[in-house]
Amino acid sequence: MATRVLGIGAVVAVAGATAFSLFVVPADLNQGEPQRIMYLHVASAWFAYLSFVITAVASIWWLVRRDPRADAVALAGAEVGVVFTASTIWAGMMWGRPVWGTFWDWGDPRLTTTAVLLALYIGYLLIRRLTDEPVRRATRAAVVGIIAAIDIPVVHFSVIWWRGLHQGPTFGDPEHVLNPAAPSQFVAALLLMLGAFSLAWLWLMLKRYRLARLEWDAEDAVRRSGLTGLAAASEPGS
Amino acid sequence: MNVSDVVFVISAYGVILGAIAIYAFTLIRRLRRAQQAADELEETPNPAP
Repeated sequence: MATRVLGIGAVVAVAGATAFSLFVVPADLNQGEPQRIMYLHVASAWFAYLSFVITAVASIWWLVRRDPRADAVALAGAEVGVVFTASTIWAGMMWGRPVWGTFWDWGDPRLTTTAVLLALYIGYLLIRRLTDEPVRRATRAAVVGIIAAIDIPVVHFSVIWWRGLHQGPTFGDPEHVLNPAAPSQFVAALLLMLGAFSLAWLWLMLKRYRLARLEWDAEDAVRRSGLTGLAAASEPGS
Repeated sequence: MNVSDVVFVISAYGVILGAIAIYAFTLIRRLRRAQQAADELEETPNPAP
């Protein structure tokens, strides 16, 4: 019941934030209409980071405690993170073409490290499919989940460490968080989108976690009872 | 207003919100199927040792 309310709230919030970003906030004087994509781009990027950090923490939790809940959290973070990272890249490309004049530039560190981040976590999900043995699968995935997390700070600080097309961090300077240079309507649109995405992200995480737990329990029951015929129905490794 | 700029904005919002919605619906379907499988397993009597 609670997740249903959360889901409905997420749909309403995302619809509201989208309407506000597209129809209420004026277009940027310099960038024009494409600037509206930034609300989506930044929100997607933040929740991609958060998802992968959760995967890393849960991976450590698994290696230390061997708790199936940790593996479920790690899987949820990775899968949801992949969706949000792909969204971030797509939004960036749709903004980049009209503003930078190109969809993509392999010479840009932020773009390249983000593409690597996406590839790493797609790899994480693929590695989970290599074995149906839950403990081995969770351990292998946990190792990959921790190694892949090294790229998160690299992506974030890439705009500081190296030169490229991408602008600096949006909220890198604490002073900018308290006194943003952007007009208040722009900040409100970004905060609204962040709030809406937080609801959607939480709903997706809870659902994916629940699915992972059910899959684990089903695999466990199949193995213990020897009912291999039902293994296909439980979709192991997904 | 540049028409091609609007196309990029629509492409960004349409694809991303659409992808998240499709992922959400897929999750609901997978969850329903997993729940059914779990219920079937629960109903199946354990084989004799």
